[in-house]
Amino acid sequence: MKRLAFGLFLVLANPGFVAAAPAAGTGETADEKASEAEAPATEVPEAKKDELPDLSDEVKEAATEKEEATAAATAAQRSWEDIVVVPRKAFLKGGRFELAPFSAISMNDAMIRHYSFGGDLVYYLSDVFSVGAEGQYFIKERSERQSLVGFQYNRVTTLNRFKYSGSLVFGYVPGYGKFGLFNKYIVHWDVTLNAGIGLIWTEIIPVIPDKATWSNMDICPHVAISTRMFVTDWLALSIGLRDYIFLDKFEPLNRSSLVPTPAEVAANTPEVQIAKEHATSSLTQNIMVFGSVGFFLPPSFSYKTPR
Amino acid sequence: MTKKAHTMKRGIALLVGCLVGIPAVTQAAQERKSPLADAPAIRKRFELRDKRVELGVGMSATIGQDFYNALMINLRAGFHFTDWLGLSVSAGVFNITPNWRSSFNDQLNNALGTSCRDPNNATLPVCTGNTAKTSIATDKTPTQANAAAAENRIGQVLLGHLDLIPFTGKFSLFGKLFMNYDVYVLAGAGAVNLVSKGAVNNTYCDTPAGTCRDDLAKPYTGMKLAWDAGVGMHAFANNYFAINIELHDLIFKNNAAGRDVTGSPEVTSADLLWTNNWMVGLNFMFFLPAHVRVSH
Repeated sequence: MKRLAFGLFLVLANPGFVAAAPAAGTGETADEKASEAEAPATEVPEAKKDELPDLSDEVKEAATEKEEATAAATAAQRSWEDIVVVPRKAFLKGGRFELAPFSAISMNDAMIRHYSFGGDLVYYLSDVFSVGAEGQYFIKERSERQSLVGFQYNRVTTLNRFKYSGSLVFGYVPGYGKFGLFNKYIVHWDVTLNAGIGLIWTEIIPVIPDKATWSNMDICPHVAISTRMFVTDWLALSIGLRDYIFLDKFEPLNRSSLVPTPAEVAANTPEVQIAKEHATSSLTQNIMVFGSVGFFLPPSFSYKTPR
Repeated sequence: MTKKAHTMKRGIALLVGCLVGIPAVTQAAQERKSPLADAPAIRKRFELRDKRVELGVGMSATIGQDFYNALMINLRAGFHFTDWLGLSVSAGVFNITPNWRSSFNDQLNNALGTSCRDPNNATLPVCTGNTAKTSIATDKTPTQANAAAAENRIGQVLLGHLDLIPFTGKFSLFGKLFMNYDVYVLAGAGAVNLVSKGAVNNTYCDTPAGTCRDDLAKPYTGMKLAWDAGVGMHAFANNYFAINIELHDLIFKNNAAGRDVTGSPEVTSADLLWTNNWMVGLNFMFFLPAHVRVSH
C-alpha cells in the first residue's frame, strides 16, 4: 500500500504529467466549458440521482417525470432562433475606448486634392453604439487638370483649401461577421455607420496670388461607412468612406472690379473684407476614403455570456 | 530469496517503472497535436469557384473623369482555376451616356461661353470697347464648340485580369438573407477606346483685318493600352447566381483635353500624361456547372 502510494505520488508530482493532463482530457471546447458553467445550479448530476437512498421508487419516478417534463418544455422553447449567426464574437467593444489615428484622401474634386491626417477617440457605449470625437488636419495638392485650365482655356478656377476640422461622431455597428483567409485563417470584421456634426475651417486660394486670403468656419455634418478587421484583442484596421457636406464661401469672380461703397471708403474697410462680403456660397461635398489603425483600451476584454 | 529481499526488488521495479514511464508519457503528451492543427478554417465549405466558369452582364460607370463620364453596358466572363485564383475578361461594350459631362466640364463650358472668338459674342461688353479683347488674336479663350470637339471620352473598354480571391465568407442581410461572398483583388491589362465628338476647327482669323491666331487642339482618340488594377466581390444568392461588384483603376496615357501641355507649337505625344481612371461595375453572374462541390 505504501509502495502504491509512493508510486502514485511520483506520477502526480511529475510536472510533465500535470502539464499534459489538460491536453489529454476530454477534449471539450471552451464553449462547452462555458455551457457547463452556465448550467443551473439546482440540476442534480446523473451519478447522484442513483444515490438517493431515502426516496421511495414512486417519489423517484415522480421526480424523474417532472424533470423530463421540464426538459421537454425547455427543448420546445429552443429553436433555430437560438442559433446566432456568429456564435461568439471574437472581439468585444462595449465599455472600451478606441484611439484610432487615420489618414485620408479626397476623391471627388478634379481640381484640388486633400490629404488629411487625424484621429478618432471613440467610446463604445455597447458593442454596437458609440460616441466619440474626430479631428483632422488637411494638406492640399492642386491637380494637374487645375494647373492646365489657365494654360489651355485661358480661364482660372476659384478654389478653397481645407485647413482642419473637428466633429462629434455617433456610431452604429449594424453588421458583424467573419471570413476565411485562404481558408486557413478566420478573420472577424464588422461594418460601422457614422453620423457626425462639427466645424471645418477652409481658406480661399486667390485667383490673383497677390490678393489677400481669408478663412471660413463652416458647420459641417458628415456621414460615413467603414469596415473594421480585428487583428488582436486590442488592435483593429479600418477602411471606409466619409462624406462631409457644408456650405462654403468662395472668392467672388469679379473681385478685381469690386467698387467699395462710400461707407466702406469712409471706414477704410480693407479690400479683403469687401471681397469677403461679396463671397459666393456654394454647397461643397468632400468625399474622403480613409484608413485607420484602432487601439482599444483596456487592451483585453472578458465574456459575460457563453456565446 | 527472503521475503524482505523480494519486497525490496518489487519496490525498485516500481520506482524504475515510474522513472522510465513518466518521461515517456510526458514526451507523448508533448508530441500530441491538436486534431484541429492542420484543419482548414472552414470545413464542409461550398467551393463556389473551383473549376467553374462565370458568365454575366451588368453595367459599369466611370468616376471622376475630367470631362465626360461613361455609363456602359458590361459583359463579364471568367474561369476559376482554383477556389482562390481565376482569370476574367470584362468588356464595357456600349456607352449609353455619350454626353454625360462632368461638373467641371459644365462649369468650364459656361466660362467659355464668353469667348471673343465666337462671332456670336461680338457684341458682348467683354469683347467690345477700348480695353476689351476686340480681336480674335487677343483672346486665347477657345470657343465652346472647339473645346468640346477636342475633348475625348471613353467609348469602350476591354480588360483581361487575374483575380486573386483570398477572402471568402458568409454574411446575413438584416438577419434574413444569407449569402456567401468573396472579396478579390485583380490585376491585368486591356484596351480603352477613346472617342471624340464633332470636328475641330482651329482656324481663327480677325475679319476684315485678316490677323490669325490658330487654336491648338487635336483630340486624342483610338484604342489605347491600359493597365488595370482593382478589387471586387461576389455575393452568392445561391450556388450558381452571384451579384458582382468591381472597382477598377485603369491607368493609361491620355490627353483628355486634346490641347497643348508642354508649350510646344502643336499637340503631340509629348503632351500625354499618365492618368488614373476609376470605373465601378455591377454585374449579375451565373456560375457553371450549377452543381457545386463541398469540401471535407
